[in-house]
Amino acid sequence: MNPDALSAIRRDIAAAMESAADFVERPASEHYQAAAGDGAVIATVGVGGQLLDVRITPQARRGVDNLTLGEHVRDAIRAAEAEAEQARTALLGSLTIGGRSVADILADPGAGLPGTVRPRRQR
Amino acid sequence: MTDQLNGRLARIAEAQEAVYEGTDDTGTVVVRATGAGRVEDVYLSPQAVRDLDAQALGAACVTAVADARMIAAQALAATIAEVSGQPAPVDVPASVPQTYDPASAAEALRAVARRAG
Repeated sequence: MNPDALSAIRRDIAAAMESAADFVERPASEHYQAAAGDGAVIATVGVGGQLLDVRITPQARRGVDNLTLGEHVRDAIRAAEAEAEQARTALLGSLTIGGRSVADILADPGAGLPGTVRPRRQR
Repeated sequence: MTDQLNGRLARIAEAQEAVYEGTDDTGTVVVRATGAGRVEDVYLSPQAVRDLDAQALGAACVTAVADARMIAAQALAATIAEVSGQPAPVDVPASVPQTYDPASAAEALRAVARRAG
């Protein structure tokens, strides 16, 4: 790999680390919400994907049968987690190293740095 | 060697796909989650819907999800320990440790950025 390409990759890595630092410093209050059952259930997920809250409306508790209400809870949690995951993926997709997105590199590390060969272990 | 490694990876993959069950404190809300943490099923018993108000019912769901995921994480850690030959940790840390400090994490990342740039 030529020195210019290596320098470019170093700059990309530095930029990616700065972006990641900005990402983790986002306010802890930032969260992702999703509803299910026409708003009967709202799930809230934190930046890190942790489930923070499940809100069930009193009307849904009274008017929806227990099995359906459970499905709404599951669907709301999944949808909120998908929102959080999408945000993380968007961040990784926007970062590039050597012209490739970080998401692609993580999916296939070997292809991320063409021309590099893993050294063989000496016996 | 490759077969052995593939066998170990297959065991870990199985543990990630297996389903584990957790409950709230009353045992009337049951959540099933995979080893990877995906919520597969939420069961609200008739008793839970009858006895808990809407707010408490939501909180019970959060507790049951956390319980299922903790059990799943413990099972996954045990499997990894078994296939790697390393002792299993006594306690699996919560997914978001209380000691997590975003400012410290950000500073660590910026230190890496300074070294790389």
